[in-house]
Amino acid sequence: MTQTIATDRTLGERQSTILSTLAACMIPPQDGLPSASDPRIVKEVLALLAGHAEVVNNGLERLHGLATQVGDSAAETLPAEMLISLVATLRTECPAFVTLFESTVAACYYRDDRVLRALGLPDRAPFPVGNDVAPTDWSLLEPVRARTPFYRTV
Amino acid sequence: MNTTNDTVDVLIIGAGAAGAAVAWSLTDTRMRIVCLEQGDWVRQSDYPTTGRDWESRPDFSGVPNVRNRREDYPVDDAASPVKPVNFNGVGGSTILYMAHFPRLHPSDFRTRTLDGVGDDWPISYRDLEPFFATNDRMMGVAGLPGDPGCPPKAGLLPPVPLGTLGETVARGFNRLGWHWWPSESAIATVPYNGRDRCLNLGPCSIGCAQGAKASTDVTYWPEAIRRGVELRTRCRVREITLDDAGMARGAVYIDEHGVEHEQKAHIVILACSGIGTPRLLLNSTSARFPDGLANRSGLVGKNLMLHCMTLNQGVFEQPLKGWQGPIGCALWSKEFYETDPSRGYARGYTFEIVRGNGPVAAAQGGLARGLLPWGTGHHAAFRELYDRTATIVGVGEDLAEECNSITLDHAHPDSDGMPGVTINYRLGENSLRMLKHAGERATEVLKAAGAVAVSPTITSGVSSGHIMGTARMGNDPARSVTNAWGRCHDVKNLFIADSSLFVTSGGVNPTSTLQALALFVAEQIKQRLDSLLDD
Ligand SMILES: Cc1cc2nc3c(=O)[nH]c(=O)nc-3n(C[C@H](O)[C@H](O)[C@H](O)COP(=O)(O)OP(=O)(O)OC[C@H]3O[C@@H](n4cnc5c(N)ncnc54)[C@H](O)[C@@H]3O)c2cc1C
Repeated sequence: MTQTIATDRTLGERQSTILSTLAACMIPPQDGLPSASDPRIVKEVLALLAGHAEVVNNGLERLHGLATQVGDSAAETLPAEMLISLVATLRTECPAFVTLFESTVAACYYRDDRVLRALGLPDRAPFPVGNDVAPTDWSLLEPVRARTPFYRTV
Repeated sequence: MNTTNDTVDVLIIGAGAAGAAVAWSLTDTRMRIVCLEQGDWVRQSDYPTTGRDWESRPDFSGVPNVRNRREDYPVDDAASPVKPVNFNGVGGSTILYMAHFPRLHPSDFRTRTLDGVGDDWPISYRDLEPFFATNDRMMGVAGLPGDPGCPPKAGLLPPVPLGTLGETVARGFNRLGWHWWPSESAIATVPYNGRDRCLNLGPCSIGCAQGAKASTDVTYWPEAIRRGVELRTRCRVREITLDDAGMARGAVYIDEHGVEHEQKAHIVILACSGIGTPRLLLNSTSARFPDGLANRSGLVGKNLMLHCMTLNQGVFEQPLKGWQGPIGCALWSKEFYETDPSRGYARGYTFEIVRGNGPVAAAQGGLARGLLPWGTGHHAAFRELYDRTATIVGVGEDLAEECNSITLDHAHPDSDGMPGVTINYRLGENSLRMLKHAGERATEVLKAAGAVAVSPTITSGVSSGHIMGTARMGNDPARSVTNAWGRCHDVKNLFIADSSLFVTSGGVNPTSTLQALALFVAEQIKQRLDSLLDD
């Protein structure tokens, strides 16, 4: 791992490959939904993770250590199920990395136009269109209206 | 340091919920009023909801250490189960607040007399009533008249619609025969005073790009400035200075270029929030006040109340359209607000039903709670979770304890070298019993509403923008920092106008009450101009 130590705002090639493999394991493609390792999505993920080089380095170092223990091979070459089970161990050993990774992938994945469209959600920012909320039928309040005031008077 | 002999009549520090209200009210006097604010204006176009990355903008986080803007100060809350959130800028924390706008109840001002806990306020609900009404008019409050759980109020704008999520949960309350009512919300549901109507963008807690939410940069400030108040932004006050007679002389502040100034004033009013106000007082030491300004009682920074809170999430089979509509404003329940000795604790809580998150926050929350697996099961789990979750927050009365406090954190200064703060806070016995009750009742009502699963009750790690009690008002100088109208017992031209003054927390969000209190303090100043500094 030492040869792939990241500089300040970029990740080394090998780190990018492992992170991309992890993203694919976390969210694989299915029924018109892209994988989180889709090039457009993973590019954003890597750009954001580059700002947290120390946490990423620590997490990947440990993942690499675990991979050599179980499979005697590099993490990026392990089958997806094995990588996912290593991440479960990493969750207790390097929680900062797993939390950062998951929340970054979720942030980039669930704002992608294709993902939002496939989920039937608007592929736009909330402003300026907003949302229509149907008017409420306030007859729902009838049982409450029937109560006498019950706040304490002083 | 730049010191001029330019002495203004009134110097207000902090341009948030309270500072805006007090500044506006004092313009009646035609006095020269200056407000110093450490943050800046937020432009509507800067708000996250104008961009695709709206769910991932740390610069609009409520957590100051995450936001980490120049104007933020470090808040160490590591040891506190409740994490304070805020915003520093014109509008203060109302930039991010959810605009849920209940008032404290009449009984909240008399807890010692009624229930033998806490302390009575030196003023009553009735004293504040006219100021509640003025504040509602200035902010624009939506709601439905006739709530049997609260005192009556007039002039409400049409209520925020409940949406599918709100109606679903309301039916659960009806099944149990429990009280609920649409939340009163400081949101323009129709065009109001130059503000356009709410578009149901959703996440009010990252600011309102539409300007329909009543943050004070779009309510009080434009009027206050039109009426002559000078608002200086990017000016951080480090210290309140004293003259030889022990009166406040003015304030030392650092401008945006790092230059230090002293602004002199006849009257100084602090409105820096329940954390910022005691921080400034504690940082203003002198031979007269070695433990912090106006702190002869030793209570500056003490009696911190943050509200004890429960959070329960129910998962439903059907979509709830929860991401549509103001996130914090659907409905409330006062069923368990007033004391009932049979419940095993004093005082009570409000239930607030919160709408759903956008997809990013839903996924992040689901991953954090282990509900979204990695791999092939991810998509199905997301579809089951997203837009099928309703959240009930219990906001409980937090009885004041001196051990709950803020102290200066010299090891972590802000960008101008002023110490940050440490939050020393624990949940009391009464709170713990109340939280247990609230968690059980929330679970019951979510199930009655049709939830197929309800999460365990969360009480720790919750965030709160409700920061109260750290310079409480009272009649006894040994047991309070200010008198009954916000004037410091120890320094007669120094006033406090924010929620630091609260004697009890009630079980509701504080902004409506703290703004009414700020208007009350301003009114007392106006009525006593000739005798303001008398004993
Ligand atoms: C995410 C979030 C959601 C919330 N939701 C609700 C809700 O739904 N309902 C509700 O009632 N309340 C809510 N609140 C709380 C509400 O925003 C606060 O109660 C209210 O804004 C407090 O008013 P204040 O004037 O005391 O302080 P603030 O509004 O925080 O204003 C204080 C101002 O003082 C300035 N200041 C501080 N120190 C200095 C200094 N040394 N020099 C210069 N300026 C200084 C700050 O920059 C800030 O602008 C929420 C808060 C947050 C953060």
